[in-house]
Formats: sequence, C-alpha cells, structure tokens
Amino acid sequence: MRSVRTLLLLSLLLSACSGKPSAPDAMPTCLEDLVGHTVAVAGGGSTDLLLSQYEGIDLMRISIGDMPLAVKSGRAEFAMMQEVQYDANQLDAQGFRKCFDGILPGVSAVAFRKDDVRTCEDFNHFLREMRASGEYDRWYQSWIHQLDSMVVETEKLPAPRTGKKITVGITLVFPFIFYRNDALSGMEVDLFNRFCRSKGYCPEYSIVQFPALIPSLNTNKIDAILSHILVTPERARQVLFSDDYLEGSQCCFGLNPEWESAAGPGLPDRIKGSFRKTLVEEDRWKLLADGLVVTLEISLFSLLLAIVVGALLCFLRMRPNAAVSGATRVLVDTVRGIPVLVILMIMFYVIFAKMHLSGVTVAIFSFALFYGAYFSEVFRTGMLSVGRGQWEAGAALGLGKFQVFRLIAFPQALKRIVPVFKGEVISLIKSTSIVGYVAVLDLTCAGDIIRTRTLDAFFPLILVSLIYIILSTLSGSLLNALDRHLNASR
Amino acid sequence: MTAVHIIHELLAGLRESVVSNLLTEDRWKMMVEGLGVTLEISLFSLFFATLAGALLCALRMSRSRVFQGVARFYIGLMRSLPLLLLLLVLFYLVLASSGLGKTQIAIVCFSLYFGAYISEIFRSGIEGVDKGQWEAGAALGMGEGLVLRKIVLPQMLLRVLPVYKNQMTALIKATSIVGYVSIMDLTKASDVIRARTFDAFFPLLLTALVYLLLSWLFGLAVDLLEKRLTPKSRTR
Repeated sequence: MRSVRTLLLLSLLLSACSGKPSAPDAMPTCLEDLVGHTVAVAGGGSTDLLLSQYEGIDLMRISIGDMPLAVKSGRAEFAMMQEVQYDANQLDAQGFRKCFDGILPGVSAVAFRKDDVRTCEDFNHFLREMRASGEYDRWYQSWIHQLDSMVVETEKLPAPRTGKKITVGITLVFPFIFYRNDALSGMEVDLFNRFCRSKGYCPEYSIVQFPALIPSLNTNKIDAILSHILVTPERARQVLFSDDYLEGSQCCFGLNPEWESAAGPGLPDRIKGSFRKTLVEEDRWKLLADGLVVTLEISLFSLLLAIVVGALLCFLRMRPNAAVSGATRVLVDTVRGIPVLVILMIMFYVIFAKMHLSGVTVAIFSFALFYGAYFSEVFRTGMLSVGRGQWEAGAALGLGKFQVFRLIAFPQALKRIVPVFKGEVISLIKSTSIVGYVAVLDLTCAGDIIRTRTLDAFFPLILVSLIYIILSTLSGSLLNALDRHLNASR
Repeated sequence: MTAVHIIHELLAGLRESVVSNLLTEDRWKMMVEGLGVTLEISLFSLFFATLAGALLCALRMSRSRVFQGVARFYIGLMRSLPLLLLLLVLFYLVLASSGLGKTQIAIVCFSLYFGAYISEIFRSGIEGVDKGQWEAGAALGMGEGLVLRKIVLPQMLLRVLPVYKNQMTALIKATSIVGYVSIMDLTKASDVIRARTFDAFFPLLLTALVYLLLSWLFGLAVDLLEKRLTPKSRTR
C-alpha cells in the first residue's frame, strides 16, 4: 500500500512541475501559414488529406477528442476540427482561440453499404418528413442552444429495442455522439434514434476508430456509419451516402496567447475537482466499471482458451511425426514473430471480417492464439525437463503412455511450468490494454473516453494504471499461492 | 476452372493490391518511413534498455537496503503496468512539456519498461553462476570487480543470451503500439494506407511479414553472437 501512495505522490509532483508551454508568437491566418508547424488532424479524415498536400506541415494524426489536450500540452501547435465541435466544447473558455475557419465547407450524411439502397431510402424519406414538419429545425436549434435539456430528453427516449436490427458504427465526438450517465447521447444519436423509431429499426451502436469506419462497413461489421462523416467524391465511390443532415466547415485553432488562467486553486482542491470530474460527474465511474468488466472478461476467457491452445500445440509439437511437429513449429514461430497488435488487426479486419462477431470475441481469439503459442513453448520446456528415465520407469511398471503422463510426468512438469507461466499470465492481462485499437471498450479505452471529455489527463491515467497494477499483483499472488501449494505437496 | 486459371487470377489480384496499396501516391514511401521509425525506436530502446537493465541489476544486487528496495519497487511497478499505459502516462503527463519529441518519448518508455525485465534476466544469470566461481576468484587474489569481469560475466552472458533474445524480440514487436500516440511507425503506416484504400488484407499481411523478418533477422544476429561467445567454437 505504501508503494502505491509513493507512486501517486511522485506523479502528482511531476504533473505539478510541468509548466505551461508558451503559445506561438503569430497566429496563422491561412493554410500556408501552417507550414513549419505541428498540426493535429483526425487520422484518415478530410483535413488529413488536405494538409498532406502541403510540404512541411508536421501532421499529428489523433482522434478529435484528444486535440485540445494535445494543443494544451504543446504536443501540437494547432489542431483542426469542425466548427460545431469547437463551439460545443466551449474551447474559447478553456484558453483556446480559433485562428481561421471556413476550411473544407461540406455536408455530413449517413453512409450505408452500396447495395443497401432500401435502408438509405428509408432514412432519406425520414429526413424529408422531418424537414417538412419543422422538426428538423427544432432538433438543430435545440442541440446548438440548449444542449443540456436535449441530453435529458434523449435520455428519456432511449433507442427502440424492437424492429429490424441495424449495427451503426460511431466515433465518440462531442457534441455529436458522447457518453453521458453511462449511456450514449448527442445530436446524431438523437437524430438516428428518431429515425429508427419512425421507420421500425433497432439500432445497435458500435464504437469504431475513424480510419476503420469505411473498411468496417464494407466488411459487414457495421451496417451504417453515423459519424458526421463529410461527403467527398472519394468516399462516395466506396459507400452510399444518404441526403445530408448537417453542414459546416473545419476551423483551425491554437492556444490563446492572451488567456490567463484564473489563479488556480490549491493542490487539494485540484485533486478533489479532478476526482469529481473523472468519476462522479455524469456517472463516469460506470464507464470505468464497464471497461474493467470487459478487460476481465477478455483476460479470463483468453487465458483459459490459450491454455487449451497451448496444450494442443505442445502435444502436436512433441509428436514423433516430423511433418506434424515441423508444421506446428512453423506455426508457433510465425505467431511469436508477429506483434499481438498486428495479429489482433488481422483477425479483426481479415479473418473474421465477414462474420458478425463482437470485438470482444475476436480479441479473445487473438489473445488465445498468440499466448497459446507462447504457452505451448512453456509447456514443452516443462515436459522436456522431465527425464526420459521417468517415462521408462513408468512403462516398466506396466503403465500406459497416458497414465505415465498423468501420474508421473505431468505433476513434475507442472512445478517447473508454474513460475514461468506466472509471468506470461501477467503479460496477457497487461497486453489486453491494446484492444481499444479494434474498438473494444476496455479499461484503457474507458480512461481514454473520460480523458477526452474532461480534458484532464492526470486522474484517469493514474487511476487506470492503479487498477492494472492491482490486477497484475492479484493474479501474481494467486499463481504464487499455487506454486507454493505444488511445492508443499512434494 | 483450372488450377492455372486460379493462379492467374490470384496473381492479377496481387498485382492490383500492390498497385493500389504501394504504388499509388507513392504509398510505399509511407511504409518505408514507418519501418525507419520502427527500427529507430527499436534500436535505441534496445541499447538504452540494456544499459538501464545493467544499472538496475547493479542496484538490485547492491548491499545497500535502500538501493535494493528502490530497484525492487521499480521493477515490480514496471512488471505490473501495461506498456501502453506507461506510454500514455509519459506522453500526456510526465514528459508532456519536456520538449522531447514523440519518438524520443517512445524510446524513453521502452527503455524504462524493458530495462526492468532485462535487469531481472541479468540478475538470474549472475545468480546462476556457481558461488564457487567467486570464491575461486577470491582465492586467486582477484578483486570483486575483476572476478565479475573475467570469470562471472563471460559465463553469465552465455546463459543469458537466449532469454535476452526473447525479451528483445518482444521489444521490437511491442513498438507496434506507438501508433496510439500518433507516431507513424510501420503498423500505423499500414493503418493509414488501409484507411485510404479500404483494403485491409494486403497492408496488414505485408506488415506482419516485415515484423516476422525483423524478429528473424534479430534472432539470427543474436545466435551468431552466441556462437562466437561459446568457447568450443572459438578458433584457437
């Protein structure tokens, strides 16, 4: 416990010491002025494509939610997001300033698969009705001017639970789509829920990273993209766009050089405020709790499956048949030579692309395969450490091969396996933190969502780190206990 | 459909993939630059992690209780914290306004993290050398440093190399997560290409192959070193 406190204190000190970076001298007024600067853009987005054409702009491809934090911490000098987003986030009040706007004026629409004309027609019909009845104007104006009351209204009218199922790929960006009280809210979610209610659909929202949206749509992972996605000719070749429901343009912003933060409250108050913002407000602790459950789920199931896979691979690898053992060896070495992240992406985008499997299931399979390969080697070393004499002695006693394995070889091997196994189990638990890459909302990802909403990096990160430390320590001591138990029964 | 037909079609598909994923807009340059970044991070981290590992090992095995405690705490911390979280903490908190570039922060992160693992490998290697070796050295009138350098280290090195190789291969592969903080490494480059071409298969497969090649080459290099260190194979 003392070590935990020391860690907390240390990081507090460090974060308190980090000063504010100085703002650049002259504010840019057009795209050419950005040359020679670091600019944050949404990776794979339209601003990414636009700025890629300029030589000398250092592009930083991040999610839109991370932009204010990146600019504040000085990682990027400027960033680009839609004006609506800038206004709704009230970034002016947080020390930012728009440099120039009106970039890439365009319209957003819902994207469907090319052959999914029917759903698209349904949506267009709904939109026409909405515009004709004046409901559209009410929807737009209320979200821009009375956001809080709209959020409450959206909560009262949750998404329909009956009707034709439709999986909708979304990215979390305030004010279009965001988490509030552990439920999805935002102007786009509200619009789509209205559509589903009126046309008899049952939406299921699935968070997908922006660059992965269109590939996910075309590989049937999702049926529609609802992500304030701009209509561009290149995208229109890949997907079927509905009529547009929003128009706007991008703006470029940076730190406001004249902005003086009000004399900050003392450290205890800051911690208290940070705590409240991260956990209490909008019931954000529920997000973390959900994320923790997902992390535990993936860890536990992939661990069990990996043990099975590992045992199987170990069995095949130790066959006397050279072809079988050779093929297994190639498989194991190949899997071990590829980063688990790349394996996860191959599983998600290529192998299971056509199947309707949840991200969690794909993650479990990926970790089971990757760690299964590692486990098989651990098991094999354990088995090899049992001397030949033991097998021969067993055979001499008239035991069958399986009996020798069960009664003599395995108990001895187990004692040698457990200490190494412990390290592998902990690294499995830790490496599940990367599943956010394929849009699984785990503990790390929950921390990310909170971070981008509160613009406070400190508390979510430290909290999530602490939870992981506790998880690893617990599983470590569990396996230590097993180790002791095995050695005591010698 | 004959087999020739199928092969023909496969080749045509492959050619199309190569053109759209690598040749259009000079996308292969993105992959090459990404590979450069991956190599840069890997090599520097390899070096610094080994250095940090040696230092930590010295602390961990020193006689001072304080040093031992500090090293043990640090190693325990690194072993229980996910690498990605460490990267995020360094990126957004600790080194947020340090003036270090993104790539440099990544190098610091991997060195800190893998240094802890390496130090334990070194320690178990040194402890694996029989106590009698130290005593024999002392009996010959050698100082502790001399015994370590002339007698213990050469024996420990051979013991340690296979595990060291595994850990360092893990480091190379682990660098694939740096895309999370918007560093354009090999994995992220394939990500960006995928976002533009909407083709998942080819970029990912190519990336996997490159990592496989990297791991294999690195393993080969260490094996070569191992062979040179083995006394039996040395030419006299």
